Amino acid sequence: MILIFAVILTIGVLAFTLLVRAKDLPEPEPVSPVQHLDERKARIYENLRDLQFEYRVGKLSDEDYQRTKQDLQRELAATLAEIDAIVGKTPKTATAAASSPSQAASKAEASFVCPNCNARFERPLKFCGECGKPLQEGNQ
Amino acid sequence: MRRLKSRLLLAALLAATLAPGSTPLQNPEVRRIGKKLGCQCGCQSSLTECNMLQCHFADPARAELLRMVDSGQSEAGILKAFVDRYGKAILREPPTEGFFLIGWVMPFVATAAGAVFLWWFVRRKLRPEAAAAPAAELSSEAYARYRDRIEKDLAKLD
Amino acid sequence: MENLGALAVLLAFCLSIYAVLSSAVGALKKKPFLILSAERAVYSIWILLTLASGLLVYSLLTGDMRLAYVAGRTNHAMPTIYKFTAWWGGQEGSLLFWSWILSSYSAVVTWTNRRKFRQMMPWVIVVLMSTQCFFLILNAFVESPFQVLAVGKGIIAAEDGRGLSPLLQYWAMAIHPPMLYLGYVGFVVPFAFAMSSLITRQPGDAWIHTTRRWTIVTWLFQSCGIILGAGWAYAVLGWGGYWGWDPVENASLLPWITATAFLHSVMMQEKKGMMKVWNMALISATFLLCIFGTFLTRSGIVSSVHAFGVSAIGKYFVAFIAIGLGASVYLILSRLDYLKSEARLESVVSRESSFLFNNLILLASCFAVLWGTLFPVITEAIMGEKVSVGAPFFNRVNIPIGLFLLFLTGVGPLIAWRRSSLESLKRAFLWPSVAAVLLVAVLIVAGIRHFYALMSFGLCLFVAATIVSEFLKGSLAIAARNNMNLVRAMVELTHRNTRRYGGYIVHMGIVLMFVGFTGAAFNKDDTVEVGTGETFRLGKYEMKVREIQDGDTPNYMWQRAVVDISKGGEQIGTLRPERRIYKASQEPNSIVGIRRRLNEDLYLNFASMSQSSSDKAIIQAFVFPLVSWIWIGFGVLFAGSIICLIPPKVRLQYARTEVVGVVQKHAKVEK
Repeated sequence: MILIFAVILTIGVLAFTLLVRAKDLPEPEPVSPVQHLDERKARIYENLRDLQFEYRVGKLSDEDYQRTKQDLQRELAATLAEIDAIVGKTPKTATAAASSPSQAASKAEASFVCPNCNARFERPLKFCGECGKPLQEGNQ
Repeated sequence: MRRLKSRLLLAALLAATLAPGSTPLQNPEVRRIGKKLGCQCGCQSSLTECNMLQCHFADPARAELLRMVDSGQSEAGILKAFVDRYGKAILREPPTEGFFLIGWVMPFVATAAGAVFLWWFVRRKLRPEAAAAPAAELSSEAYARYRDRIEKDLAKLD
Repeated sequence: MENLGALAVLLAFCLSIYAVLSSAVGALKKKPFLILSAERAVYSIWILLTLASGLLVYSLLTGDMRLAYVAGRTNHAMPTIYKFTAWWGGQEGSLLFWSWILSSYSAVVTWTNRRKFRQMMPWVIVVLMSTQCFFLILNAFVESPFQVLAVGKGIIAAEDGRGLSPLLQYWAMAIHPPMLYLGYVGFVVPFAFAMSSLITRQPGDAWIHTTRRWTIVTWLFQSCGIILGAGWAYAVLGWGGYWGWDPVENASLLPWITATAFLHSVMMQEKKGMMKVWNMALISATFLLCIFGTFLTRSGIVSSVHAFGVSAIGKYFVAFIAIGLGASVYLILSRLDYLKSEARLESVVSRESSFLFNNLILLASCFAVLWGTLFPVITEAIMGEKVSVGAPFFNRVNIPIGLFLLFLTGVGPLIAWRRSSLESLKRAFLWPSVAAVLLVAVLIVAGIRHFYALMSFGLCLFVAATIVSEFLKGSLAIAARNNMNLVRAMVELTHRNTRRYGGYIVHMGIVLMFVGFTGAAFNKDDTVEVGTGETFRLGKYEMKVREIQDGDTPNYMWQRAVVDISKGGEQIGTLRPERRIYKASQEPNSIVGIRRRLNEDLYLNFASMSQSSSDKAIIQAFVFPLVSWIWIGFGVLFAGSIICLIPPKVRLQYARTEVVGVVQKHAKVEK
């Protein structure tokens, strides 16, 4: 009895572990090429918000506030510039980027754009990671 | 009858296992000095605080300690007598002499070393080139371009 | 039955090796099939270990005395709950418990991240499963819980077991080990993420974001474990101490200290992208100290009441710790370029440097504790002479360090990030300092001369004042701007930045605990021999022994003194300190009587019967001022940690939207 159970257990576990079918493979969530820069940007915004609040509460002197704010803004601008360099658009032509994909594609290699929401991805996807609408094949 | 028998048995057992050993602790001086001596039964606590029943170490040691206190020996004399008999391990702190001083000094030496390192580290980090700061690379013209956007975002904050 | 359990452990061991290999190969050769198969192996291991643990628990509950573990840890008369907790009451079972928790954590991590971090996850699995593999070696080959009692070739069953150690038959002890293990084991996960982000050179701090909550929860488990242990020592060991600086207690404290340092210094990385190497080092140190703590407890290298006794598993632990240390040091050193700091310090007077200071002091106390714990081993190796390092040493070294930390707890949060001018510092610190100085003056007038106690009370008030002023200033600003009343504004304030204000509440809990610790400076005690009807005094209390009872239960026999307490001629209660003898193990245990009040606890221990006259009892009486504040402070700390875990109200979504163009999408939707 124990023996049968042991055999079943062993086979069951090994089968579960070893038999991996193609359709079991998970579809990975899309990763933005600038994710780490986004994180940095979020961080700086958060710092700025904090700074504003602490200033309002009265924890900071005017001079501290101005200098720190200046620093943070410079860092933020630098981060934004870096993001734009990767994504391939400048702030002035933010809306134009979608209409001139060739320019964007030349700067950011292999970027795939969702026709619905203009989100960009670094590899072709079946569905847009942002809005969830299907991405038609060949649409780049 | 049966109940009585079991009670008698219980009393006998309790008397045996709950044997004395705490009696000398009634003397406050024994309690005080006992706190400086470690019980060697493996309990890691002091002679005063060892709570094992019939502790093979604490019970006789406490009786001895009481005898010494009663005979009027000084605290230093008592501690020395215990060290002579059981070795330095009986004291609950390492002695402040020779090699054992390292035991006392080391935490503070390490803290001081850490503080020196920290001082060096802060000095180094205060230098402008300490970071691969992307902010420095940005020209003022480029900065101005982003500035509007930032100001707009900041207004939305809070 | 036991064969099935042993088979499950053995299969789990094989699968853990398979998981490590297939995950690593899958990651290197980019084979998603292998990676998925490794993930499946993680789930399988969890199933197998759950089965093995289930079988062990079943044997414990049904009292299958053929098993050595069952016979050694339980007896038939034991309450069912303690039969269950015997799972972690002994060496073999608790190692299996360790393994099981680790496998559960691994399964949870693998499942929740099954679509995320496709680059990092295989390596996370490698680290987790290597650790798992190590513990499964112990479970399968060194300390198997499924060994049967055998004479010659026949299996025998013991008549009845020896029972769980009486000291462990107490409610706090039933949940203390699981809490501590949940904490110990939990740090494997942040460590695994840290190492895999190093291996794959992930840009950004993804490992910190993903494991942030995890670290807080694990830290909280550890804190719970430590404080339950303290509560247990206070109520069970009979001498009224909650912390004896025992090696095993120290072992649980060490990773807690480095974890606390990590929780602080990680903020520097999150806020400014600094201290990346340091955070890696801290998380590795925490993980290794967790393993080291397990090693200290299990190997019998230092003697302790809590230790599981001498055993041969020490060398396995040494090997594992050496490999872990070598691997993490190598990974950090080989990727220093990737760990380069993104920012610099702007000023010496800044939050950043206060965090650096806090880390220095935390590590100093960690080192002092570690040093003290190992010093006897060192002297014995070098001098050939044993010395003890007991509570007096640790108190002497750690009290100044602790007070300094308390001071930093007050100072740190008031200094702004990047820079703080003297003017703003003055504004922030004036009133708290005045309050602290006033309190100290009042206490001196009231007759308190104990230096550390004065310092501690002063600092406690200082820190409490800074925290309260932080809350008040913040909520006043919100109240004025949004037209709210103060209480709602305070909730709003906390909700906006749960981590910061939750953290302040945790600090408040620490302050209250320090108040409790300081009470120890004013302890009073006495040991008296009293017969029925006799009275004795301690402090304000007058105690009269009404009677001495005895009795019998299937599990133990007991003897109890009924003591009436009165204060100023008025009876205020009755305490019943008790001694027990557990029948199975023939071990005694004391159940102390405690009258807990906010100002002080009255604590009676029935030490023994008298030597001279058989109807007299020896009773130890203690007065412990302020001890209750330790437990209250812990409650506050717990609440604060939970608040830290609540997601903040303000979500910083805008940062992401801009880049991937969701702004336009939202604009469309709004139209």
